[in-house]
Amino acid sequence: MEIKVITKETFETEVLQAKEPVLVDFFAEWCGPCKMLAPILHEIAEEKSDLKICKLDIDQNVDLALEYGVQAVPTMILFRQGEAAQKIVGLCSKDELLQQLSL
Amino acid sequence: MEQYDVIIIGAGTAGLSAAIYAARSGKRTLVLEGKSCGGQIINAKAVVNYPGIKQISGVDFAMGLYEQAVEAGAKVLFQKAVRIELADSKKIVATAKQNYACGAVILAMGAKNRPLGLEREAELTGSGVSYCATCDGAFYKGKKTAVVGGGNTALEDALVLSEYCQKVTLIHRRDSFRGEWQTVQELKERSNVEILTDTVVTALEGDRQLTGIRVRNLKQEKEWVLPVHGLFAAVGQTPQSELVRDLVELDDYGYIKADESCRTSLPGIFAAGDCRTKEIRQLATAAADGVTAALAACQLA
Ligand SMILES: Cc1cc2nc3c(=O)[nH]c(=O)nc-3n(C[C@H](O)[C@H](O)[C@H](O)COP(=O)(O)OP(=O)(O)OC[C@H]3O[C@@H](n4cnc5c(N)ncnc54)[C@H](O)[C@@H]3O)c2cc1C
Repeated sequence: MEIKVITKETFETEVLQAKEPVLVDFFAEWCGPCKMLAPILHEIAEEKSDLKICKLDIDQNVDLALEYGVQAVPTMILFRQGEAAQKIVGLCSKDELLQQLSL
Repeated sequence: MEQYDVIIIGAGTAGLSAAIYAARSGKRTLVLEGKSCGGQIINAKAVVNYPGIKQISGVDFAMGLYEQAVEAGAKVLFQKAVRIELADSKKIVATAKQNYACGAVILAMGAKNRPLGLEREAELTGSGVSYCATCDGAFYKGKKTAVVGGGNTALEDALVLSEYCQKVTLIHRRDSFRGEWQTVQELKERSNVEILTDTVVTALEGDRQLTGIRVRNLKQEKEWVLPVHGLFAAVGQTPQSELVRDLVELDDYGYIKADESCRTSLPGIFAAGDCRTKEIRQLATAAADGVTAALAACQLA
């Protein structure tokens, strides 16, 4: 599935109301590790058709970042049925990511 | 089984440079990467010594290489290579997921930081123990930290940390430093830097988070606990060559032996970058190895 860039306006419909699990990548333009993570997320998106992946720029969406306790980037939060189910902070390998999210 | 002409193991500077050349030579090229692409350099804040580029961040350098390799036609997959097998004239590279066949393999697994060899070190890595002050230093703002090592990396790390940590203790097992004299002088002038020579770390304290380290002065046979939140190890590097330990010749330190054309002891297997025996381990030499190995591999594959 394509990785969607979301904002505070689309967060509700794209993430909270989604039927399928949604992995949200809280990133920032100035964050190096976020850039390194991008190709890994891209590969996961290509392989996992049952998972939706979205990107949210924390500088453009400060309130959402605060609401979900994002203190460092990248932070990835897996939402299931509108609930933040799991959180991973920092750059990690694809295997670690899939393992920690039990995907 | 998926077939390639050239398989490159490791997407650091050497591996991605090799990928650019192999793909541009029209070879079906696969790069396997176990972590994130870019290798060690993504930990560098600024690179100022790569010929032709005045200044660039390590991440931008790595991403540039990655994009260049992909645009040249190389395929990069985030899978760790776990085994290499020989089958007639083919080589088979296995990951946990799949096997890939090819005519030539380029080993570009690089090097990683040497652990201190302390009990619970792996467990506390990321919870107080770190191998990269430039990467993790900011987490210890206003806190007490220690750096272990005697070379330039240790000295630079101590300098960087002293900018924002409450206190930095530099610990070295010998009585003098291998690193630059000027940096040592600079450290001595900083009021929040303490230097302990002839001293080693013997244990890590703290449950889930590092709270202190046990240190021993070798000359005075004295041992005590130093309260620190962060411990930065800068005691050199070790090659990531376990994958081929029983396959190709290694030197006494575990680096892969290869000739001027990056050929290893086994035909069709090449080694490039920090993982091979050589004098200088830098981006420019890693890139040069990648180019050399790729063009040599292309003649075979
Ligand atoms: C903090 C820091 C700053 C530096 N600054 C500079 C600088 O300013 N200028 C300079 O010239 N050099 C600098 N260097 C040195 C430079 O980074 C290295 O010389 C260079 O990265 C070597 O490249 P490489 O491709 O050989 O290895 P690496 O960069 O180590 O890349 C190897 C890659 O292979 C992967 N890998 C390993 N095993 C496997 C496997 N089994 N399967 C799949 N993938 C695997 C690793 O995950 C890694 O991504 C610096 C190094 C550090 C640590």
